[in-house]
Amino acid sequence: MTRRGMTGVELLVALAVTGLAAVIGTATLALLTDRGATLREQSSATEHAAAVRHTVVAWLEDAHGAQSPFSGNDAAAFELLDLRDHGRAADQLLFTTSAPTPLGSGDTFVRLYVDSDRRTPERGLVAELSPWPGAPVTRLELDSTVTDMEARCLTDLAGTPRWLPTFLSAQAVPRGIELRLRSAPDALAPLLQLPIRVAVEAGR
Amino acid sequence: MLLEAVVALLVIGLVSAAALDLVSAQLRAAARQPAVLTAAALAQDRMTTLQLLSDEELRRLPDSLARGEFAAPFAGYRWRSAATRSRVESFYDLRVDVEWSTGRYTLASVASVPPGTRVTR
Repeated sequence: MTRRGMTGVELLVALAVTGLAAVIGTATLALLTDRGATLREQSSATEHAAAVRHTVVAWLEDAHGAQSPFSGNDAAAFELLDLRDHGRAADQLLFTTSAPTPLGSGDTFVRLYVDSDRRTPERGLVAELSPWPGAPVTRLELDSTVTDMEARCLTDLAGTPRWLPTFLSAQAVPRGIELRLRSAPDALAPLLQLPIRVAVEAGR
Repeated sequence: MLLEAVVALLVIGLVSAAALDLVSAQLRAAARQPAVLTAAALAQDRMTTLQLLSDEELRRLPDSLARGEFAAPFAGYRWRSAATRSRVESFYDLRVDVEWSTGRYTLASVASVPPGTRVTR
């Protein structure tokens, strides 16, 4: 007698094997999905920090002290103010950049500072942008976790090049700028814990 | 019927294996991306340090600037820097290599440094 088709046992074994493979596959997929979500989160934080660094570096690299066509007879200034707010370093940088900003590709007046003012919606490292000094400003929150900013400038205006905590000039820009950002422990992305050093093109 | 079931299971198995391979390849790429972004920022930092050096320092690059390892939170990344005189007067060819366990990032640039400048830190 010739047997045709499957017996009940064969069918059960096939179903059991298929079920086991499906369970293992689903568990692996869930594990990979979880790992993927964690990696995407880390990657997104690193991308954000890298973008902040890149933006600040690009703006400062193209900082210049030449007269802005928008500022009339007032020369655009470069200022580094060495300030403290409730015991925290709250330095401010004011400069004109020819690098592209959200306002466009022309000259932009930038004020870089740490915003702790509860009346404004922005927090942390903020850039205040305006097309010329005194014009309405656009605020851009670069990183909300920053609580301290300490800056210094490399300048040779006095003959010997040295790093200084303050700088004020209506004509010249420093050769180099270093920004150190801080926040509550573990809050700041590692890439923002690395000092942001910039060689200013117009300061050479 | 048995043969058809075996073929069907084989097809499902092959498709599932290919899908899982694709997902893990995506994961490997996602894991590599932050490392590359970090290495790029570290290389840029070292490059800026070179660009701010004086002519004298670039000619004899101190060991502390020529190579080293980054401190936490970048432990595991190390760098090598080189500055060589360009054929054009007052210009230097600058190169920074950042290496980590699974990769390497290289940044090259040219800097104009007026002779005789000295920077005080």
